[in-house]
Amino acid sequence: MATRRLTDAFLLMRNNAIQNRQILAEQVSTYDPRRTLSTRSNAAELDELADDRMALVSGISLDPEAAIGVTKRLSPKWVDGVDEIQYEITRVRQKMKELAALHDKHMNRPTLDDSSEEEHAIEITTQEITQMFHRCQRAVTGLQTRCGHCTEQEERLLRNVVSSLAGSLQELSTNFRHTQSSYLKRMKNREERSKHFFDSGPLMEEDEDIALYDRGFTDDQLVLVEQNTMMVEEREKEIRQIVQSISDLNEIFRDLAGMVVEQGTVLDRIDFNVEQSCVKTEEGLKQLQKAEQYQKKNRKMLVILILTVIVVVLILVLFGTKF
Amino acid sequence: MNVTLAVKQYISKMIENSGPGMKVLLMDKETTSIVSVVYTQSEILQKEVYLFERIDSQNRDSMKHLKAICFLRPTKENVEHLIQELRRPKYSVYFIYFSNVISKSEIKALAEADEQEVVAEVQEFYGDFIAVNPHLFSLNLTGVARGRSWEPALLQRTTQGLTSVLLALKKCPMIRYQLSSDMARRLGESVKQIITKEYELFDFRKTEVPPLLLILDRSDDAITPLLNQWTYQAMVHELLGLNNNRIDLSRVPGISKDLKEVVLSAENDEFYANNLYLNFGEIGTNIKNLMEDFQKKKPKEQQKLESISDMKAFVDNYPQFKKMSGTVSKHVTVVGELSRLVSERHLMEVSEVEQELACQNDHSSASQSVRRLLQNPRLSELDAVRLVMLYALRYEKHSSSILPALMDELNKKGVSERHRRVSTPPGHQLSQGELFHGGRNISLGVENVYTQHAPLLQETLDQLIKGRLKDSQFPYLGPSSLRDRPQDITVFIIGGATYEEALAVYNLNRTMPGVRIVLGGTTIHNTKSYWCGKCFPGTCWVPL
Repeated sequence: MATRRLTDAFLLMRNNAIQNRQILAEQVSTYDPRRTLSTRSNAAELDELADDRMALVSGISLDPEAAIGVTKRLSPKWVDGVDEIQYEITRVRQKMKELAALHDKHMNRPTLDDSSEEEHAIEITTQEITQMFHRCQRAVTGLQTRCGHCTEQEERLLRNVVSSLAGSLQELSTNFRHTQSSYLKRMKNREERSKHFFDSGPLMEEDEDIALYDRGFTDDQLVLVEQNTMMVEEREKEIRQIVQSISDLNEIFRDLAGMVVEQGTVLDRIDFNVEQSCVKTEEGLKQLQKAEQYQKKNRKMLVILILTVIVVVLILVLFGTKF
Repeated sequence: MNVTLAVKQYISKMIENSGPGMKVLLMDKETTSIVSVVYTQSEILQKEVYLFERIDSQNRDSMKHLKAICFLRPTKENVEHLIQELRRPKYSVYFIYFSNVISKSEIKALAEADEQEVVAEVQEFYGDFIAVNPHLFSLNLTGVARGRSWEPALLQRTTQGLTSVLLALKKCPMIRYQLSSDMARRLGESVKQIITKEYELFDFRKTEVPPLLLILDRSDDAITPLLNQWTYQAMVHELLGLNNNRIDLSRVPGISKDLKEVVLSAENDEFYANNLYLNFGEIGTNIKNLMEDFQKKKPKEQQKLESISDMKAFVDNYPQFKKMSGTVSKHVTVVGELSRLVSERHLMEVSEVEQELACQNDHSSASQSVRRLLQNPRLSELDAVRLVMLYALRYEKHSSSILPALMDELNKKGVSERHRRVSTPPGHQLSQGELFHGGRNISLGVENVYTQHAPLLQETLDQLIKGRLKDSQFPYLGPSSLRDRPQDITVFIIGGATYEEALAVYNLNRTMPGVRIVLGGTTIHNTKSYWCGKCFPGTCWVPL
């Protein structure tokens, strides 16, 4: 795709324009306004001109609006909130990568030695991620309410920002849930397979020889059953935690869903939103004009009232002096 | 040669150039449409563009924590607005992108107005057209012709639009135009002037076979816009009206509030992308399949999500589910409405007669069918006039033409005088032989009686690709000519293209692998807009 850069030409012309302004300002400032040949009005005009040009040159504007502009340069407070949330989101992404790596390691390791270290690490990371999600979600909902004395446009800006953040959070939470469910599935598969191996021993014996043998277990078998039970309990605990985290995320998801604009609808169109904002500003303008009119009417009424009161007072005074 | 991609790339580049931080996008009325057609709001929000404003909107707040990206057309008004903006800048930095070539004097004016030195970049990004489909663009201009010559301001706009397409696709083409149209010649010369003037811009890598620009005139083929269509996109435009990929459904009886206005964009809607060019019957089947898929995935009416796994499965699929449900309801509503209109206006019968008029050569049966339909009281005004127009175009000079009788019928139906005059297209110079090549207007091997017609464009392009397009009818502008068969062709129809022609181009692109064709027009017509433009230039037809 072809493009053309005009920036250099533009900067050159801008510098020229600035230089011209400076030269003009110098010329004017060297001009002595007290020359007796010029008329007073002329001197006054030149004075004004000098003032204007000096103002332009020195960058100090006599325009009060520009002064306000300087103070407004500080961004509204909620912008910091946005930066924080974005930072959190990057951290969540990183943590999720770590978690995925831990999952893989845990799955692929042979399950002979049940070191609970890795499982502990997985548990902690999962909890951290869930907490971060909660925090982010609370922050995003909090953002919306932070705009106290905002203008209509700032509100729109805030809404768009919130919708975009909510969208990325939602996407992340979906990914998180997917990783959790796939991990869960893998665990369950492994569970079943291991159950198959461990249960077949004692159970089969029970079924077949129930009538013939004494039902007491040997020591070996007791130890085996104990180990098996412990393992099963641990696995169940893990599974329960994962399911819990998934259901936690459901809540977050539902909350976020309200803030995200659906793709593919007309609300997702830029021109539609620009039209809506135009309509709103027009309506706002109309309201302002109406308010202005009411104000004017108000003032007129006030004047009329005062005059009537004065007239009444004067009439009273008149009657008073007469009698 | 993908115009949607080209515009999307321009906008992505604009946003990337301005670096990180919150940004606002300032546009004018036309560039808003240009951007909206290729980028959805959620996509652009992800790139940290959080606010969208029009440059001409008053009372914008000053937000110095935002960077401004201005994407504007290089018109005098926009430059004026920009100058005012730069004198009292509302944002911290300005990156200015013009959608076409801008003159040095206007840049100087901007430079002088930029007292606070807030402008960081000024560039020209040639995205001055609306990319409707990857191979179809439009300029959304109506009333380009005054009689048979150009409206001067619109000639300039059309030239600018057309050159920006060439620059966006990086083509420096040879130009061929339709000899019988003066407008085509003038546009061709205008484009050639710009190419010569801005030769540095057009200095692209030379390919073996230079690309080709073919300029045609709508009045050469007045039949195609008058026919009823039966493929999804064309049908929607014909019956409901597609405006920058938006459809206004507010007048549909019993419509729900969310669906008052819908968007049909192949970029974001998979079902639409697959069914764009399929005909009505096939769409019905596909919608049924879509609904069945959806029913399977949908949890049965407020099913108590008892087990954790149920809840999990539901929420897992929730985004897909929500998106799918939105898509399904949208398409079901649109197709339902199309269906209703088809049966209400008896469009099947009307279309059959139209196709007969357009493709067959049997005058007596044609006149009988037209007469019979006109006498049917339930025929709508639009369709009645449409039929008579087609008849007039075909059989006006026929010995036993019953045109006056048909006009009487129209009178009886209560069609107003203005509309009756429409049926007799004034000064139609085209000979009957050219427009109706007897059998050649029929796409061979089509069993469907409703899609017999093939637009004239198809034949023209066919000849062009085979290198057999006559120089006497379509001369080259300039001395050089193409020796080999063309590979990259840009076709522009002054007066407007139609979706039927877009379908023909799409099929040609698919079936001929060595050739890539892009079609464009000053606008995209349906019957109403064509009618409106021909006879009431500048005014708008009150929708039926």
